[in-house]
Amino acid sequence: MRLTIDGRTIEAAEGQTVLQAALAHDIYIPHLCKHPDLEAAGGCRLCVVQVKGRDGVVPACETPAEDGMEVLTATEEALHIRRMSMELMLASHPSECTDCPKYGNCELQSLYQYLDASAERWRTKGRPMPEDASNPLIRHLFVRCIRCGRCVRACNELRGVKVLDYRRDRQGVRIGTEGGVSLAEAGCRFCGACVEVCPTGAITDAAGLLDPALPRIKALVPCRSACPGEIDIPAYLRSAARGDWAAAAAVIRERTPFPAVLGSICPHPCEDRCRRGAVNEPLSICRLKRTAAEAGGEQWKTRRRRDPATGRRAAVVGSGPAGLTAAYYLAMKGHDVTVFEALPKPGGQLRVGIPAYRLPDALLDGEIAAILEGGVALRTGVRIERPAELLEQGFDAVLVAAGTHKGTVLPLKGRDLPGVLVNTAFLREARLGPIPAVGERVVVLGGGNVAMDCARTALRCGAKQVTVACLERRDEMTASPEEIDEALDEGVGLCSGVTFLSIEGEERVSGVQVQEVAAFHFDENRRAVITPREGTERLLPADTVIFAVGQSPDGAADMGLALCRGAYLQTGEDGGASVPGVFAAGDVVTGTRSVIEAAAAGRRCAQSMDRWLGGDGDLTEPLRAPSEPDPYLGRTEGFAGRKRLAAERRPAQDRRWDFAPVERMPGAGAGACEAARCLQCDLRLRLGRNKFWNEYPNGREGV
Amino acid sequence: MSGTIRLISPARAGPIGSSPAAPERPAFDPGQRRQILVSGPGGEAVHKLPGRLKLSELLDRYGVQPDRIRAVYLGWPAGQFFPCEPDRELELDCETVCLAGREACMVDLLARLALDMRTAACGRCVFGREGAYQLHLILSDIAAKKGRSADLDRLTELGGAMRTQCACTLGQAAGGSLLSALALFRPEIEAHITKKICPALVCRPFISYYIDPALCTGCQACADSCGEEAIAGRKGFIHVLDRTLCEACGQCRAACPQGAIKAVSEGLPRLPAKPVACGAWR
Repeated sequence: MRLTIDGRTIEAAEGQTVLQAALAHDIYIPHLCKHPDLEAAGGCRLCVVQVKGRDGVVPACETPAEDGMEVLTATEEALHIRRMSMELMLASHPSECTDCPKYGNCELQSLYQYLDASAERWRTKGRPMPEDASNPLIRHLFVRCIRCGRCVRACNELRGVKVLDYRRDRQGVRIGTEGGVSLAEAGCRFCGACVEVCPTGAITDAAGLLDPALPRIKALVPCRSACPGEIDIPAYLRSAARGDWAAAAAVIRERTPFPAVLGSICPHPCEDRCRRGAVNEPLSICRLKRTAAEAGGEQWKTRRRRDPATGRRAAVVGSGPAGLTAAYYLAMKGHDVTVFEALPKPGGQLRVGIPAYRLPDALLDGEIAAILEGGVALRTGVRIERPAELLEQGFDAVLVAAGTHKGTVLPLKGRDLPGVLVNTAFLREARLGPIPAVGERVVVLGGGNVAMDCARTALRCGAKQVTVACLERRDEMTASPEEIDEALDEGVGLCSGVTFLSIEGEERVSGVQVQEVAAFHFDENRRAVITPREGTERLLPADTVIFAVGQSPDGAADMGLALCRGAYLQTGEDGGASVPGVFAAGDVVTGTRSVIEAAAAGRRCAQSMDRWLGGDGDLTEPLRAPSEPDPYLGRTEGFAGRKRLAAERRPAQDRRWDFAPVERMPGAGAGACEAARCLQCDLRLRLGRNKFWNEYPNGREGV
Repeated sequence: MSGTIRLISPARAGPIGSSPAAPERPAFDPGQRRQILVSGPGGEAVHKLPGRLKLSELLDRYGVQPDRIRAVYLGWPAGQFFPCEPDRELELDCETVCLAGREACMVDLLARLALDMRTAACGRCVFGREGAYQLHLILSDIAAKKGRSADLDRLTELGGAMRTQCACTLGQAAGGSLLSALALFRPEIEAHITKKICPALVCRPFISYYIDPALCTGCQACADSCGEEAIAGRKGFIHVLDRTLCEACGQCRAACPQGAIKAVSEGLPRLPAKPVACGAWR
């Protein structure tokens, strides 16, 4: 149908209102209570227009477009009503704008400037209402509320959560929860739609909530932006909550070939940033990856991307998370990939660094098999000393992802005594066999996660008494709180806040001499500067001492590649090493980091390598049918109080003897319940916004 | 004494804390008898009334003589004031009726009606919500002797906009009520603003009380009743009221057995400056 607006003929679709038709053609009509995602309410009267042949002015947001209609947007009456409505709103609104969180981005402010309206003709008197900062995530400053009802419509019609509504009090009508209870008590889902649609500063994100260093789109979904692998966390939780584990697994696999591994051992920076943490407890984001990997089946394989063969050959040195991830994506891009692994089994630190009770062999084998299925050749037991030589052997690109397999031994007296072990070798032996022999009393030196792994492995190797000694105080230790707790539960002793003086013993180790530390810091060369406490020297008796104070690349110095920071491979922005065609990624570049960081680095490097090999560097792999999330959340009683799914661990006294998995992972049912706790912070990003008048050509012309 | 005046029945307005939505306008059937809340000088009562009846019949049922009433107000959805013409045929398309007594001040009445509009508004539209808020603020100001010269124009403008632009019939009826009141009582409202008088002697800030020296017997009842200690006098002396202290509460007027306490909105007679013996004032 065709109608004319201010003399301009435009095409309108069936069912469109005059306002929608006008805005669709970039013709600005002021509007405030109308929001693109919400039904019209006709409340603000800023969009009133004159329709030829009708009496008076009518709100364009509620007037259906009709064929042949003639609309005038700026008649004297329309301008009068519009301005008067704005004046009335301003009359009860705080006049001071500069201290408002929405200053400069406020629809009300923009509109009163556009309409050149002020409240001075009317009685200017606010309806006082204190700020309410008692709710998590959402701050209410209802003295700035203009009762446009956008939050009410968003909460009720769009989300179906039905928490916010018009309420009556002695001052008249305002927005609030029933009975004025807290958002949590009222059943809020904390989706943030009310914040997103509020045109003024009445409903805002809680002060200090959003990371100002991040762009809005990232700050609003902090779990996703905290994930080094950029996994679309809200999307897989949403699929999981529906019970669609195949889709959940596909979402994760679109970013990494290691869902089950990550679901078992990822240090989950996402959970630390999860906004639900402010409501009660963060989502169990990590473990649900494992559930997705197991319950999701192999449906993703039917959509697996396999580009035509390019005839180019890529070599990957090292089969850890970085190397295998890169191999997966390079093979996907049609390159002929060979992975070289020095050890008899693939997996790198996943295989020989992380104990089996945290990451079982079968699970790792499954994920590696799926990677190899994609056309990756694996050659184990082959150590590549000089990676650049592979270029001469017919490979067009080489990735060095050799990891950090050399444990650090501190220069202490007695470090060469029999019975002194080092983390990397100790854990490797425990994993590949034969199980290393340890004495009855074991002291592990170090306070990180690897120290915990060594301590718990030592228990499982037969030690009767294991003590972790470290420089840091308990609350400063770099090991994650969960891993410390799990170790302590199993009977590991902790001797924190001590410096190591010497390893004692005649023919073999008899103990470690330690001294309490008053303070310590690291100097510019990253060396510890320690102030010991006089007279606190003591001996920790031990038959076995295990160094777990760090690890570094093994053999990187002899690879013929440039180094940085002493032991690590030097790379450019694109991951290229000092020899063209040779790339490097993972711990061998960065030093020991998390699996997800190594895998993410491998993926990024695969992009560069693909380009080097003539590809476009596009690694997107859609593994699921495209779908739109359901914006209707509905009511869930007691949503805010729903507890995080507790980890199910075997009792410490049972598990400390063997290498069987410590944790029982959540099944599909419990997992779906946990996933349903997600606030779905990303839904908010799908909401539209009212453009400001100066974004329209005729808006800029003024009233 | 002021009676009640309501835009809608209090049952509809709902208790505090509820989430009111605009009421549907009920279908009006003149043949159907309906419950209507009638308020007036004799208090408030529900009457079952036909859709159409003469004003005289309505007054009869309520039990008041026509000469005691100055105007009739029909609430939502009709929303209109009428002068008291006993032969007028009324169409009772409303849930509330207010019979404004002879002694009523229309500014006072309208200010109270505006408060009811403000509390009854569903809050969904600007003209209904903020319009009623402004009506109440402006009319209260006029009743408090704080009227401004532009207020009548503002009220007219607001009433017109509310009648056409409110999203529901409640706000539209509020706007219509105001317009019909302005048409009937404009001079009385204007007197409050420009002459600073309340002709009905209802709005306190406009009222000056004085003790008629010809009637005062020096009984001291008025002085005992005054909470502000604004009345001076001894037994047998003509009492004197200090208007700088007087709050115009009217307690003394009720207490005086002689009817010697009088109120004016303008033009005080000559009065003794301090108590003098009864009979000594000429």
